[in-house]
Amino acid sequence: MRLSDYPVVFTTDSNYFFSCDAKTIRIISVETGQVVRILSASVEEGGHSNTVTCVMLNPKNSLQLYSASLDGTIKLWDFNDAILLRTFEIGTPITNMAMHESFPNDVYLVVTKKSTKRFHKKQYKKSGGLVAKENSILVRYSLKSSRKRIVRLLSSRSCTGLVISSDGEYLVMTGRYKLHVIHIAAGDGIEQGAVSEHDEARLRTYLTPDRITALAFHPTEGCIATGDERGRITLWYCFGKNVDRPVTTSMHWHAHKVADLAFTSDGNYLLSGGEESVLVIWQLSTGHKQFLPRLGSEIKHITVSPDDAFYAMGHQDNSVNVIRAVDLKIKTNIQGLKFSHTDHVSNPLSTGLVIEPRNGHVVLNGLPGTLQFYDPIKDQHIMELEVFPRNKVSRTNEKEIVPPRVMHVAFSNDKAARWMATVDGRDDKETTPELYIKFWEYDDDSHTYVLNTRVDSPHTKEITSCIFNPRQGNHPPMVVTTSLDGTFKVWELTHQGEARRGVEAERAWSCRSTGFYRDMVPRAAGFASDGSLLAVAYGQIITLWNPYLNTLQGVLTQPPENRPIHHLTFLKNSPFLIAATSDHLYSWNLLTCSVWWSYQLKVDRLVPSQTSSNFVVTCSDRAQGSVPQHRILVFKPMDPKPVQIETIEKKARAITFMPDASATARDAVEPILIMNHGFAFEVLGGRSVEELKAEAEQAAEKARAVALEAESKKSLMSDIFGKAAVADAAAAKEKKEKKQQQDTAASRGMVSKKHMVRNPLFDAPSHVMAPVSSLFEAFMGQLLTQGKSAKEESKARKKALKQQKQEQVQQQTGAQGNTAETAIDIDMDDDAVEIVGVKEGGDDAIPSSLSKIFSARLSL
Amino acid sequence: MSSDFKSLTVKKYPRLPGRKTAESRYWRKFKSPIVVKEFAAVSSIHFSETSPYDFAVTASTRVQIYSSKTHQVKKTISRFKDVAYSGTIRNDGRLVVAGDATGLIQIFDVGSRAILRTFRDHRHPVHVAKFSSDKTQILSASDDKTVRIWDMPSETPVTIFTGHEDYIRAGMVSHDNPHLVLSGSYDQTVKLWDMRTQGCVMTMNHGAPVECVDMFPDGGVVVSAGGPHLKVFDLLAGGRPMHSLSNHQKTVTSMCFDHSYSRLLTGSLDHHVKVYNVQDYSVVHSVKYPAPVMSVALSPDDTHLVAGMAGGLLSIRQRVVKSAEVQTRRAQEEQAHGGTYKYFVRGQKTAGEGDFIVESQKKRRLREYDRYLKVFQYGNALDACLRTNQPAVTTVSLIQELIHRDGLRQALSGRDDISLEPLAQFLVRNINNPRYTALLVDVTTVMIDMYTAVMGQSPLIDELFMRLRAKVKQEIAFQKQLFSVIGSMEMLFAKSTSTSVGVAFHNELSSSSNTSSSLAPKPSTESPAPTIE
Repeated sequence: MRLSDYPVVFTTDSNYFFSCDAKTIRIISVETGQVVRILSASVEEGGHSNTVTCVMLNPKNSLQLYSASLDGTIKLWDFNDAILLRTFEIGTPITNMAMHESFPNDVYLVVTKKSTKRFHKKQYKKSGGLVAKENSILVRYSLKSSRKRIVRLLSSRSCTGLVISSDGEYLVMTGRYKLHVIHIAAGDGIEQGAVSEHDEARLRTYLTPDRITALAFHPTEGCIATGDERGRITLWYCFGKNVDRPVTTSMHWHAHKVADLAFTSDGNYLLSGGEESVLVIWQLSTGHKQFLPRLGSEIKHITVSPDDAFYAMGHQDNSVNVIRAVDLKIKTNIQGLKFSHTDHVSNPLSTGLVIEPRNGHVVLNGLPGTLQFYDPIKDQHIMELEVFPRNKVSRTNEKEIVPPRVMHVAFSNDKAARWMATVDGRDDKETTPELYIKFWEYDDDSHTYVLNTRVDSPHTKEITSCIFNPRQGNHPPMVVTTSLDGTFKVWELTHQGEARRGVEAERAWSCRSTGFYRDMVPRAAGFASDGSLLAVAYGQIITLWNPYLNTLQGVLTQPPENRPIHHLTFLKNSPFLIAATSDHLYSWNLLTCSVWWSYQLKVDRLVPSQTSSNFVVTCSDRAQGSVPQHRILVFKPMDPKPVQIETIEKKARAITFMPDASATARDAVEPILIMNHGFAFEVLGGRSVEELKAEAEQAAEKARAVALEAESKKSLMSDIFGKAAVADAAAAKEKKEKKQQQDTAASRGMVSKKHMVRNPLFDAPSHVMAPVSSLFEAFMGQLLTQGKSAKEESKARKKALKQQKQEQVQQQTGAQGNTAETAIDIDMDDDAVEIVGVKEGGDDAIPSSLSKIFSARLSL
Repeated sequence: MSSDFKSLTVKKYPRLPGRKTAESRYWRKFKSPIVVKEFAAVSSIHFSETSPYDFAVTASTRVQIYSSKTHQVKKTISRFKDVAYSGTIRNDGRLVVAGDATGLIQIFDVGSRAILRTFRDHRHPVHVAKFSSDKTQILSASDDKTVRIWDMPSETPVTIFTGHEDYIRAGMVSHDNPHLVLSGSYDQTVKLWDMRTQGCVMTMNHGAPVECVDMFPDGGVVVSAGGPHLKVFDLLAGGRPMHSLSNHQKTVTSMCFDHSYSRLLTGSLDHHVKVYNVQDYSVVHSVKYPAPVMSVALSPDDTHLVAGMAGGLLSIRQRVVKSAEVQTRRAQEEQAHGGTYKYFVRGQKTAGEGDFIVESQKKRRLREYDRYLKVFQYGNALDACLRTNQPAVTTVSLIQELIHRDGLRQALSGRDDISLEPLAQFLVRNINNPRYTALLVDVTTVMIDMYTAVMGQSPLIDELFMRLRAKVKQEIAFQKQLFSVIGSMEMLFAKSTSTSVGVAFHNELSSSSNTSSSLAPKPSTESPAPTIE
């Protein structure tokens, strides 16, 4: 998921928002944060073939959505049913789009044109062979078919913003140091062609001293807000036809560039954000500022919902935060894979993909200094763990602050996966580098890992590997780390201090022993699956140790070849040891202590299976032709012939086996999880893709149902007094009928709409109604009947809940621990149960109350 | 996700093992000894069992009553013809009994110091004179080899036990049963006497002249001290010796229990007072005194440890009781008793079943340095940390955080000599702490970088820089020494393990998980010594 590359757009009722996710558009519920629908899901079915850059509701019909993409098309969607309505071919990549309801057939686009040859040559000379500058062209495109559909208006360099004023009079475009204001009021030259620089009646261009980075138009007044590179926000007033120098006001709080600006729809407040991760809310009339600090990551985009209830912020770390405007608290937070949006030079994917044994989630580097737990099948963020706790502060000068970095993560292999070990550190090349090993214990209460021991500078140089001893049983857990300082260390859980009454002794990890071999440098280590043998690769030599007795058991020397071993792994339940150097792959048989087979292969990654003796290797070679070939090979240890070969286009970033019990049962190769070049997860082999998709679809179906449930708007009354008993009873009745019709799937949506049934007591016009004093009793009577049945209701609810839960457990064997979703499920069931429960008491409640009201009327 | 400000996480380093157990921390709280000079060796110290817990100190020809509150002499009783022994206060705190070298036993009123009773039957010095556990009798034991029980009102002996063959220097009456009397003698035996049978019921062999005996309150186990040994006998098993301890170098002269009878203290002529855990009779703590310890006593509320020494010194150590401890004790006392209102409403909550309790959210209070950190005033944060006498580890954590925020230079810049002084002081004090060295060397380098230009303008800072330099030099010399020691040790190791040259596996000596704090010297990190012309 790439959620925050482009700004999100709300629907007119502010219940959903659209987020451009690469080639697709996701519709996400504000209430639940679940993806409700996906538009442009596949190219075959008419979706975009390149990144979607801009989405916009159809000004004529708010149930339709225009989307513009780099593939040079604009598509019109019916987003309720996810149907593609029309496609408009522009031909050049579209970066910005603006429309207005007063001329719904015209759309203003910013397209990027590959610079012409002449221009290119000139640029080439000027910039000394550097890449030619991006050239943005503003065009008007007519959606109605006519003779001249595309009208070129203006060309500019690297456009950063395009808006139309709310009255449709002006079109504003920013590019570098220029602010172009174009008068486009209706009837004022729709048929006219390009706007020339000298046409002062229609175009005004204002220069700014700093590069403009953000743009917003005031919703009620003639005012443009621009943000620039130096963090200044400038408000431009009076830029009418004949004004040479508009009146400007500047506001300066941001220390870095202003990433985005947004006005609230009443125009009283201006929202701005940037690299500081602070949302600044400016009250325009007074200049008062309100701050929402520490948002976790840099703000890239700000969108205000049409009803002013929510502000949505797209962040640098691939997440979208929706906050309530009232109290500035988080309403919904959607996160994608964070690693895809970090700086890969300072924060490489050094952990690889590690499967957390407890839930089968993938663990990998997140933001610098953190780990992200991710569900690759559902494409869902699970948890973020801060390994290196810090307050994120923005840089004070030009130089970036050196972030911390998580190097390795490993989980204990026992069933409970109680322990996690991480290696992290920070090296700013100025002060003493920091290096830590941290040992974390799983906390059942908070469902997260809690720091148990931190070891400061465990090695004097960088740590090359960190592995757990897979031995199970009563032994204390053991971790081995190898380092460039030439040593490997064995860490064990020990009890410190004596146990006192009622208090267990403190447990902490400590170094038990340190080993070294000559003065060589270890780069990889591996444990045999029973934990009795430790292999440490020193250069091209593999040393075998007994980890308990600290004795050297043997030394395996490679055939004459001086490449150090980078990857080393034992295979489960087999006497084979796999070692990979930069250009060879060896399979050692430990029974004969000889190389069983070897390959000349450029191994990038080597991952053993957790359940069988298979292992997977990614390799790339340039042997055939100049284009490097990237392959994924699955081997069995005995056999040099790969079990499976897959060729991929681009280098895989990381690879691992997915735990799948069914695969081992079928004696098949487990599915392989690949993180491809574009940071998306792919699954190879194992269960068919259709199966996984079906599973995901099921989940999506569920989410949709949840979303619809949430859609049923709460009224103010129901907020204050809870759900109306009568309405529920009516709904129950409805439900009963529906059940008889065996119409189960659609009924849920219907039922939720029936919640809105009004109280029959007050149905009559007020002049024929009984006085309040006599109505009061009847009204209270209604309320009380609900109370009477409360007990039965709760009983029924519990019973039904239990049943539901059992079903759920059966259903979702794979997705345990996904607490958020199960909680929602239960909520949903709650509603259903309530309807069933009220039925008994509610049915006769209405007649009795009605008879009362009639008697009251008679007494009149 | 607008998360709260994360206040500074102060680093935690592992406790070094063996250095400070909870037990030794407790006994270390008996701090600030007050030393009083008496005329001669203090032969006996005895605490009153009633509330102000005054204590009687017997030295030379006087018995002095000291106040626990003021540690001053309250009363002096000096009506002895010869050296006095065994001044003991009765458990109601109103009478004192003491024997003397002429064989006289006298009972005094604590208030008026008047002699109330006199017992004169002993012909030899009386080293033991104590009250029996029923208030009307006293016990005496003398160098004439007899143990006597006296009736106080009539001043007549009730029982005379004869059977020891040498001086009797130790004795007591059982707390549990006033008919049982224990005595220890220089004939190397401990005897148990029963007043009902008028004779010795049990004899236990100690193996050395017995200096002191004591008994657990349930009367089942007897502890005797004599020579450098301590022996524990089980009376219920017929005087079977249970333990024999010899943790002292010289004769153990005195013993006492703490108020819960869970610890035993012994004082010896080898200048030490040792504390034993009576579970397994292991020494859990030891206190050294400047002279041979003749007598030791612990106050019944465990707040005063008093030791008398051969040279006439009296050392009083007081443990300041934490308010929390007082509170728990008070809470124990205040447990609801039947008949009170508290007892009546016990276990009831004020909130009813349907009540919705609004949780009050406590406002987070940040420390001063955190408040400055929050508003990015790094210099002020550092100042606040140094000013408020935070432990060194807090300052070090703060400096680390400043480095993480790329704000160390900002924090150090723009200081005059007065404002630079606390930091320089801190560096001088802590730069040789192995846990902080690496970080503080970085800070020092930055500081020297920034302030070399203005060197020589302030004598205050110049002096501190010189001291810093001296400290670093000294540390480097020390590390060199350590290196040579390690080198020679490695040679020895290499000799002893002739197997597999070049392959070795060291067991980590310290189980501390902080390896940087182990002995491994790192002289290279020390190299940026201040360069001062």
